[in-house]
Amino acid sequence: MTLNLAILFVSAVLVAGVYATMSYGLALIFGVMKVINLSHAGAIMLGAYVAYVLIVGLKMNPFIAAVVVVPPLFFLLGILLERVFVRPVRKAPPIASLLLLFGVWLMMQNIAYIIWTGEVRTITTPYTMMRFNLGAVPINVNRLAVFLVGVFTLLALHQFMTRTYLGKAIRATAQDSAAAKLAGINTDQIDMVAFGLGTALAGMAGALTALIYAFDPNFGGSYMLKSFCIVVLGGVESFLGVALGSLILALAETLSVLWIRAGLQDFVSFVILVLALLVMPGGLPELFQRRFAVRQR
Amino acid sequence: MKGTVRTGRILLLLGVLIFLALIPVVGRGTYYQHLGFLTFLFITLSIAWNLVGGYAGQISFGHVVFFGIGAYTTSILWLRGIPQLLTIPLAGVAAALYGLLWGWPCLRLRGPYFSIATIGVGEATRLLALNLENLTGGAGGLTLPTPEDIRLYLFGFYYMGFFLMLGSLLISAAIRNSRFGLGLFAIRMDEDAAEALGVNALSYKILALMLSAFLVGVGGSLYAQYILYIDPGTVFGFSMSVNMILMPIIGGIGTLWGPVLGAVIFTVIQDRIMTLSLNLWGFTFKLVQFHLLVYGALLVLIILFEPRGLVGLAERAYRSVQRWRQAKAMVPTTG
Amino acid sequence: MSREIKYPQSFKPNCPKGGVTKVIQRVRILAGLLTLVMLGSSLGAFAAPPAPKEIVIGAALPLTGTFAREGGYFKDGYEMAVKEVNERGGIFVKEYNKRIPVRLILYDDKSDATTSVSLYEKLVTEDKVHALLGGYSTPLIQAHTVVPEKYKVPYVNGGGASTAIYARGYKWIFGLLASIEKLAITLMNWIASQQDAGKLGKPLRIAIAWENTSHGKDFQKGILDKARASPDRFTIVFDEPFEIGSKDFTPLLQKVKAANADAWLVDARIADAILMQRQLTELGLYFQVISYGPRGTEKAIRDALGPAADYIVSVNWWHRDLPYPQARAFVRKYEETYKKPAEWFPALAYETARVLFRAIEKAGSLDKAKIRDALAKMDMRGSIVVGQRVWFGPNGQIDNDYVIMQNLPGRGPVLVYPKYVALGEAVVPIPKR
Repeated sequence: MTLNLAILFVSAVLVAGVYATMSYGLALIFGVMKVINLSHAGAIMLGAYVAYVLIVGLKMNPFIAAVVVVPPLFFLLGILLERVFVRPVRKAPPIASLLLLFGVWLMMQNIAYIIWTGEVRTITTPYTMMRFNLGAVPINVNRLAVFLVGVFTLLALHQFMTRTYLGKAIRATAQDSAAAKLAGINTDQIDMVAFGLGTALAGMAGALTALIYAFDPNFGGSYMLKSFCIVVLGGVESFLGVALGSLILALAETLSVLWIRAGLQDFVSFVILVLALLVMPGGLPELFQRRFAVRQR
Repeated sequence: MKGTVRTGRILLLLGVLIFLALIPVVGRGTYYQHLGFLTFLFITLSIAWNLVGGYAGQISFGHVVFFGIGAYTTSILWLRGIPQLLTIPLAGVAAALYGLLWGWPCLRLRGPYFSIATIGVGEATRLLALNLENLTGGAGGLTLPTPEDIRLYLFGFYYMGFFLMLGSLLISAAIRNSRFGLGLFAIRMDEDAAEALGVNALSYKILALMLSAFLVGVGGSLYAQYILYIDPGTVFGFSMSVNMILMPIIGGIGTLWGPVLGAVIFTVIQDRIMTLSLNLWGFTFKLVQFHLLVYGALLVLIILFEPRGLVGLAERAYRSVQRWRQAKAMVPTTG
Repeated sequence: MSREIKYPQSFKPNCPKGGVTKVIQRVRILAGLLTLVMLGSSLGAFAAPPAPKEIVIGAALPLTGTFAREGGYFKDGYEMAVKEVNERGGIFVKEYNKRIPVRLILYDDKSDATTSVSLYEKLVTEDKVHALLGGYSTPLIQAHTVVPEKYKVPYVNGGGASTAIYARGYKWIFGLLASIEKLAITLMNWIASQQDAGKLGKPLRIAIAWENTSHGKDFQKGILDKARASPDRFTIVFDEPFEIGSKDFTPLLQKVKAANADAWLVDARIADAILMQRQLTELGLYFQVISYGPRGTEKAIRDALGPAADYIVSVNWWHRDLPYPQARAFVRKYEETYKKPAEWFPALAYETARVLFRAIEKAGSLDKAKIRDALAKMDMRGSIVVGQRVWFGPNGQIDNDYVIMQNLPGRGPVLVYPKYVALGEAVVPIPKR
């Protein structure tokens, strides 16, 4: 039983790495622009397919494809989306951008269908079948690599956000857009960069998940919901929050199979999403702050 | 002048309704009868979604749950021996209660947050229906008994669909002109301001959701009895929710006739145009391959350029024609 | 959100041109020829009532969406059978004392149940078909078979095996796939034969997983019934459904791992089988026997999995190596025409269409009730199906034998069971890697 728990725990942590990469993109866009990006799922799905083309078609190293090639492409895609679709409705009520980006998601799905057909695809790499044992817990090399790549990307991004001018400007805009503007930050440009970065992260997360899971043009929807759940749990402000949210969700999902059918795993995450939205709209950080505030008083 | 326009409109409407009522009598058992039923059903769904999404401005991505609840309530009760016709109102009530169940907490969420929650509710409900085999038959679905005289049966259902559509339209029109409707519009404009003016926003929203759920539930019930087979993938599928969003938005969100127009165009496009194939440069393209691209693009264009949809577009065109006429009338004719 | 929105799939440049347009073109040419023939033979045909120009047969297949791959195979099989019969001038109908060419109307249901129902409704009420061929996949067939039953149109399918389709007392529905329960029972019988040969232990600890559809439930029922009947041979240690189109089976597999089973028996579709076997290898699970029910030995699976597909056992309705001359002839012709390996899908589709043609010929009429009766009385010998005979039970379903094959390294799938068609010896238990 303890061994079983250890295996499940390791598996949850590895999954959490991928979740964090996905959610951070969503959190970034929401934090800076207050836009809920429903095309996030589309970017995850397209990321998976671009990786498929690069790895299976062009025989590229899977991790070079996912880390070096995919993110810049999706950064450009994100900038394009922001300029063409999001900017014109920035002044409209938030529901307009939500529906608009939903339309973009539908279009992305259809484009994927036309190019790659609706067949479910998998990517099998030399790493897929490799594994080693950590004590009695078997660890798959592929999953570990995906996890590490995700975590390193987030750490690098964290450095970028805290150390560079652009990163600080993004954070300032996220905290108070009007004040940032007053301080001389070109918030229009920041919006664009944030949307680009968010989409790049989604694309990369898609490419990484494609190395583990199967995908088709509908892929991404449930991961987007999970990302929402994580963002709600962890809040949009901090890396730590997103990491914590990812871990909580991954653990809840993975451990839930001990009591319920594996088929109901997604049910757990959707229920958590709705509950989290209701109980703590500000996420875990707010919950902590609230307790802290009470204690201070 | 105004009076004649109004009478003209009413006459036109009556003409259309009589024409629709006569379709199965003239072409009994034809494909048009089937198409008619589906169109009525989609119009109902579209109008119902519009009560919440259009009038109250709460965009729901999970409306299919009501359709599924309606379909399953009817099927389960019918298979357990409850008279078939009695199950129809029960299906509506079950859907409305389900709406109360999750609407009561979720409608506290504002705008986009509510939308996200509805995606979660929709998917969670589908997964439940898949896994509660003893009740729902799981993914295998439920098969309903085939009636004795199927042609007469379907003939009857055409009119049930017809009256459901009429009823929904009347409800929608009545709400538009009522205090309740004005409250919903106020909530859509500015929820806080509405509250300040004494509108109990939460109960208004819940009431709208339950009403909408009732109509969709009855629609689901009719669907199940018409098709005679349901499974969670179909009656709880996300694509049905997507259709329910697309139809009213394409037609004109928040308007009375927009959802009707959207639904009619949607079914006609779906049935007539999407089954064609196009031969270009030696490749055969089946138009059905592009349907999401078309709907997605329509959605984007409408939000960018004409948030009131086709109805808005038509009004705009009507106005410019009138302006042109007036301008022409002003210019003195030289003889 | 695994299979929420079902959309079109892309065009395939290599595919033959769109079914309907092609058929229409062909029919136009045929119609021209037919007029000439009619002019020539009109003298002799005074007695017969005016014959229809063509026999209209319709079907809706999933040509895009989830089941696009299988739907495409069915299209090939149907079109090949229609082409063959039209090359002979059509089906001989006694009532009119002449051969009447067949016109096939094919629609695309996007793998969506409501669309499928609508299209069959359209075929019957608008296109006025004489008879119907089936679609593919149990959920779609279960939904659309209501239509032929309610309009009383003869309907034959080769793509739905679940007993639920045939358990509704329908009179107009016939199927060429033996039940999934029988598939499971065949698998268990084979395992028992391996136990008797001393290759597997008793009792064998079995883990089963099945897709959450009526197909999967039939499989589960077959296995459980068999296990209950001989508790000395089989112990079921894990039994759980999964959603079709799942993207991750890790949680399920971890539960399986904890169950410590000897045999892993699954009912899955191609995509699910690929992912499951891949993740199973990834997690380092070992079993003495692995089977994905009807799947596991297809080219698509072997290509996707490489060596990880070795030793998988599949139980199937048909296989290209069946030692019947008529089956060999089909394989040769199919593979020449379509440049694809002859899987069971096109074979069963082809035979389904031929059975319907045979029924029309036997009925000697285009009267729907007569065609139905001919189907009910059907006993077709020299068929390409296992056992070479097609007949239907009172529920409308065939009850012929299954074949079992195994992927052997370097040899691909080899028929191993039953004895009368076996071409090799099964490797049991699977060697540890």
